[in-house]
Formats: sequence, structure tokens, C-alpha cells
Amino acid sequence: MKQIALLTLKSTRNRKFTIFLTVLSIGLSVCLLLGVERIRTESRASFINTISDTDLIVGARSGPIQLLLYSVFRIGHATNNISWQSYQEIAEFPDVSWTIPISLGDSHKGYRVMGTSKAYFEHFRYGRKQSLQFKNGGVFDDLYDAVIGSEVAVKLGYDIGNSVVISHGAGDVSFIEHDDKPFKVVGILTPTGTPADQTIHVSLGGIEAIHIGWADGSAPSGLTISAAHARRLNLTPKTITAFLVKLNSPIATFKTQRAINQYKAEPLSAILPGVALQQLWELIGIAEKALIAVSVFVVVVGLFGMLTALMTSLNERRREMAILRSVGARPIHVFSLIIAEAILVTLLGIGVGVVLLYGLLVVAQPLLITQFGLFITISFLSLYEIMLIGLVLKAGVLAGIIPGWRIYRYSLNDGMTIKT
Amino acid sequence: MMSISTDTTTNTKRQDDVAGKPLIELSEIRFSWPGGTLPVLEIDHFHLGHDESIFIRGPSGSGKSTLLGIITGILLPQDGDVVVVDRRINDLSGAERDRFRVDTMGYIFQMFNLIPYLNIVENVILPCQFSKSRKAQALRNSSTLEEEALRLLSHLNLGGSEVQDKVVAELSVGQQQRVAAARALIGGPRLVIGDEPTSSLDSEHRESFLRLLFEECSRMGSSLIFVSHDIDLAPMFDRVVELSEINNAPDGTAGGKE
Repeated sequence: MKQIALLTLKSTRNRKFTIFLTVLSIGLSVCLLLGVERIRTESRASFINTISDTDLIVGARSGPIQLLLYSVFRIGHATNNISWQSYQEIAEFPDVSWTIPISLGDSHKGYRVMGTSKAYFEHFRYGRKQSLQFKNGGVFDDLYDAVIGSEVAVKLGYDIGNSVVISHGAGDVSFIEHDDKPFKVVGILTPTGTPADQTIHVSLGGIEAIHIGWADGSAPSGLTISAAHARRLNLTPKTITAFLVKLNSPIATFKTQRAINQYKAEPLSAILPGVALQQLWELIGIAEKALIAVSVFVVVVGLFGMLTALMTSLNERRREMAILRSVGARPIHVFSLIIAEAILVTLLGIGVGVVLLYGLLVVAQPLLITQFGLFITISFLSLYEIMLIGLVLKAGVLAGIIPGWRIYRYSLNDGMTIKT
Repeated sequence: MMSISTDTTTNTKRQDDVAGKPLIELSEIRFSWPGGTLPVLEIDHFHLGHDESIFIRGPSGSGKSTLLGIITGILLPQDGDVVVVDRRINDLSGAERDRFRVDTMGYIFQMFNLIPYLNIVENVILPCQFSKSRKAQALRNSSTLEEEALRLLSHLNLGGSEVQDKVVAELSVGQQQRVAAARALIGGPRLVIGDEPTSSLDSEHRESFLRLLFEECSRMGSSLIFVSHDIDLAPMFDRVVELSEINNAPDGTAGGKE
């Protein structure tokens, strides 16, 4: 078999240009397959970890996915708000460690404005229990201070000190502006890959202040209250949209959830964020399956390229096979020559693919963070990825068996007569 | 240039195992292609002696390829015995026949004998990669296979690096045929078979090629079967066999599959 390996090497070296093209096409397809797989697992991990270290999310009674969508992803609207009083009462539950109130409804140039408390910056965790970090500035202090997410800062070109006018409502284009009470940017967060990147955070009091005198979503008629004057009023909110709950012990989770779901004063829903995120991912996960299917097909196409190249080379190689037969090569040797070439080409293709993948990851990693807030760890091939590579190799060997078998039949039938 | 001093060692006339028996003996052979009803080859008797050179003449399609296929063990006749070097080829398995072939025979094709991606020396030593006995024999003549290849090449007027360093494709047809001859001869097989090896050469090269081939065959102690339709070369051989005279097959001119 050593002589077959040597013959394979020399034969492929002799056809290095076409072999190179085949290797490249397999390499590109393997790179695509692994790349898609990498991005899929990373985006899944990033998605599932949009919120971590939170035991319950509480909002007005609704389905878990809807509550998750508006409270965490800031997509859609709450059916109802919850009263400040209920929030206060639940926050005082003995099992509760901390809470983060969330008040939504306004926006700025398409980005959602979220009213919250300082607890948000202290307790909120995402990813692998990472806390929010400031790239510039710090937590809001004044009533009209705002902390902006990284994407907001980059896309709108905002920096510390910029003034932000909040629009009423959550639409991309709003005609009603709270332009009498502009906010000042005092902090910019680092990229997180979570909706925090696209959010403008202000204090609950700030949200309250800009809505003084508003009733049922329409601007106050007649007298308006100036920004300075608003400071002197009681700005305790009457309602908030939702709040996050962390318990002292995870054992208390179900007990607390039941207590909130059966809360007498108003209809509330408490959901487990991990479970809801999982459900939501399954909903949108069809896209990822389509992506995987496409990249699998690309690999199949790449291997078909190799198969075609091998098949077309067979006729010109029949003479070579007859010569080899005359010097003692057996049909099985001739078969191995083709299989060995298929294995060599597939292995080289996989090598090229993996090198390309890591090259691309190194280049794309900073871009993915800044453009999509998606953090991709450059780690060694996962077990699943190695399994995928194994499958590609198997498919390559399988693709080699077809021409190999063909030449085996040829060399049995032709013997040493040269047929061209 | 290679040393000529080792030449005498290769000139081993295998008198010890001749014992009066021929090198090849075919008897009562009948061969038809699978699915074919009529036999294409029917030979009552054919033999080849040790150190004999034989010229088999026949027009194309007279069953020459079939006869060579049977002698080399590529094809098995439906009836009859094929005995080569005291072994009945019919009894061997496919793998054994493949091994037996390279151990005992060197083969020269009509043209395009060489593997394009191997260099000249690599082409010559190819049989030694598949046959232990030929490798051992080659190493008895020279210290390395490469050296033996170069020695044979220079005997066939292919000495000197200006020829040996060339890529196979750069060789003339005559040079390619001589490289093929060196390959057929390396490791001293009992039998060298030329399947119209001179058909692609012009007439003056034919004779010189043949003369070199004879010289090396007798030096290596190999018998020679030479198949051709070119009767001009026949006088140079020990014996001439007209295939149509020994082939009794009614379909003998159909030439089987070709």
C-alpha cells in the first residue's frame, strides 16, 4: 500500500492545478458549513443568554413569549401596565433579593427608551453572568440624564454631553416630541450583543417627568410644565411596564411564580426567562435549520465537484491503469489509487476549510461585535464540528468509491489492453 | 556512466531449472468471451522454450490480444491448460495471477508505455514496487534500484543525464519504447512480452530497438514473445508462429470485443 500512497501523491502533484481547484471548492464549502455552524451556536448562545441571573420576569397577564418580547427584546407593546403599588409589594417579598423595574413606551429615532432604576446597572446580567460595563461616563444621576447602548452611540454618533429628545410612542417616526424636556447623554455602554445595545436608558422619574399632564397618550392641552418646574413635583411613577426579579434562592422560584400569578390586586404573569427564551428560539430556529441545510448542500455540491473531476479523469487514466496492471498492480490497487486520491483531496479540502474558518473568524470577530453585537469566541473545534468534519470525510470517501468501483471494473475487463 | 563490470553476473542462463520443460505450454485451449457463443481462440498446442525468442504474426483481430491475455493470466480459458514456469495458471486466484505476472513477465505496449507523473527512473523501477522477487534480482545486479534502472537505460542507449532528467512527455517515441523495455527487463523476468512494441517506430529505429531488446533479453536470460504484423522483422527471431495457423477457432478473425 505504500507504493499506492506514493503513486497517489505523485499523480495528484502532476495534476496540481485541477486538484487545487477541487480542494479549494471543498475547502470553501467546509468553511461555509463550519462558519454557519459556528455562528448558529454562538448566536443561539448569545440569544439564550440575552438575560441571565434573573429568576422571573413579571408583567401584566399575557403569554410568556409576548412578555419576553416586550420586556427583554423591546419588540411590540405591553397589553397593560402594572401598578407601582403591586411592584412595591412584590419587591418586598421576603424571598426577593433584588428587582429591576422597566418602563417602556417612548423612543428616540427608532431606538426604544427604557425607564429603569440604578439597580439595572448594578444587577442586570447577560451572557455568562456579565454585568453592564461603561465605555464612557457612568450611571444616570440627574432626572434628565440618559445612558445609551453601544449601537445607539455608534449609529447616531452620540457622545457624552449630547442632547437627546425623546419621542412619544415607539414608532420609527414619531411626530410628537418631548422636546420641552431634552435629556443629556451621561454614559455609553460597551457592546453586549443584547437589546441593551439598542436602548436609551433613563430614570423612571425622567419618564414620569416628560409625561406630566399627558392623558391617554395625547399631549397636554393648554398649560405645559417646564423641565425645571417638573423637578419639584412628585415623580414617583404610578405604573411600570414590567420588572425583573432575582430571588435569594432558586428553590423559591416556583413558589414565588405561583404567588405572583395568583396575585389578588391585579392580573400578573411571572415567567422563567430561560424557558421562555428557549421557546422563542425554537420558534425562530427554523431559519437556522434552513441555513444549515443550505450549507450542507454546498458541501454536497463541493464533493460532487470532486466526483466529477474524478470521473472525467478516469478515461484518460485507463491507460495508466493498464500500465500499472502490467507491472503487477492488482485491481484493488487501482481502486485504492482513486479512493486515496478522494481521501487526500477531501482531507486537504477540510484543512483548507478549517484554516479559512479561523482566518475569517479572526477578521470577522471585531466586525461582528461592532456591527451585530454578536460575540464569537475563537475556540478549538467543538465535538459537533469534528463530527461534521468526519461526515464530510466519509462523504468524500463515498464519492471516491463510485469512480473507484468503475475503474476497478475497467481494470478487470480491460486487463492490459489499452482502451482509449 | 554505469559500470559494465556487473554485467556478467546478470548473464545467468537458468540451466538448473530448464530440465527439458518449456517455459510456457498451452494445450487444448479454448476461449470465448463471456456471452459470446463461438470461441475466438482454439489452440491445440503452443510452447515457448527457455531463452527462446518467438515472433507471433497475425493481422489485427486474429486473437493476438486474447492469446497474450491468456499467457499473462488476465484471461482464463474455458478449457485447456496454461502452464507458465511449471505453474498451472488456471489454478491461481486473481491476486496470485497478478503477483505471478509481475514476478515472471515484463510487458511492453505498442505505445504510451510510461506513466506521465513518474520520472524515467521511477517508471523503470515500477515492477520492483510490486514484485519482491524482481526487486531482489535487481538488487543483486546493482546496489540500488535506481542504479539498476540507470544501468539498464544506458544499455538501451539512454545513458546520460540529458535524457534521464527529461520529463516522460519530452521523450521521443523511440526513447519511450526503450524506457519501457528497461522496465520490462528490470529484475530479470523469465519472459518479456512485446505487444507490437515497434509499430510506432519508423523502420530504421525498429531494427535497432529490436537488436537492443535481444541483447538485453539474452543478458538477463529472458525469453521473448514478440507480437507483430510486420513480417520484415521475423528473420531475427528463433522461431516464427503464424497465429492463424495455430488458432482453430471459427471466429478467430472476429477479435472478440475489440
